[in-house]
Amino acid sequence: MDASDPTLRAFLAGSMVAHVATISRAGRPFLTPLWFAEDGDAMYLTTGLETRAARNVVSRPDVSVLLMGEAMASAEGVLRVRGTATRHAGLPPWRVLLRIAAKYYVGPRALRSELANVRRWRLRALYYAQVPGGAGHLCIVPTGTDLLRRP
Amino acid sequence: MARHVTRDVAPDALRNLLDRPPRATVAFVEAGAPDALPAHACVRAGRHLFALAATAPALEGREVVLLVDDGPYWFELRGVSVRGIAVRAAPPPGDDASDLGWYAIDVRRVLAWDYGAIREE
Repeated sequence: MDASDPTLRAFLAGSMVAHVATISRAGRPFLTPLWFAEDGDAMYLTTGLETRAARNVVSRPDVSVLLMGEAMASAEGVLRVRGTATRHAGLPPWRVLLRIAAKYYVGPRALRSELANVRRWRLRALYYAQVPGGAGHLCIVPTGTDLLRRP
Repeated sequence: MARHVTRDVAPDALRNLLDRPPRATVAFVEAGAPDALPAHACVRAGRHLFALAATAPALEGREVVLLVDDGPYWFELRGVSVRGIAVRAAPPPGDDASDLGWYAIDVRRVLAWDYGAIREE
């Protein structure tokens, strides 16, 4: 997989939420929406250490990810990224955290949303404190992509 | 005793999202690996329906997860996950779907969340 592929780069830059499909140890499908940032040849996705997706990739590292390109001016389709995922404890590396902050918290629209919900920040902190196993993240190395038509 | 913080909501609270989801994906297992395809999804007469491109693998009788969601930022994130068995279905009236394969979901579990509705219980 060529990480410099222009279609992959465009969808990584122009997508806000990744739909991440994994399978359980028992072989059942699972699907969850996750925030992500790219760094080098990998995607970093934030999730708890013991969430279903995180536990699934420990036993079955293959993933299929859809990027919708919702922040692109004109996404012609949906990009399916196949890849191999690994689970990691704690927050992503600092460089990735800064990208996540820039993407989801301090951009103009993001900041407006954050400030409109200042009174709920305490609840968010409590919500994260409940996450089983604490903070974690997934690192996905793409192995292939397909541009799919949106039905 | 500490109170629990939740963003879970009743699926009916997200009816407008279920009717016109900006993002919709169906996941299933194909040849032992996870697969995901973009879907067209809606609810008609209480049934969760989705449509895939005609070139998609046949999903009749297979376990699927349909995810519809919306919002880029934390307090705007909301979504519904529907797990169940895919059953072939006719296109709903009024949907131009001649080139799509339609399914209903024989529902096993539905989860709905709205981070804007986060609260203590």
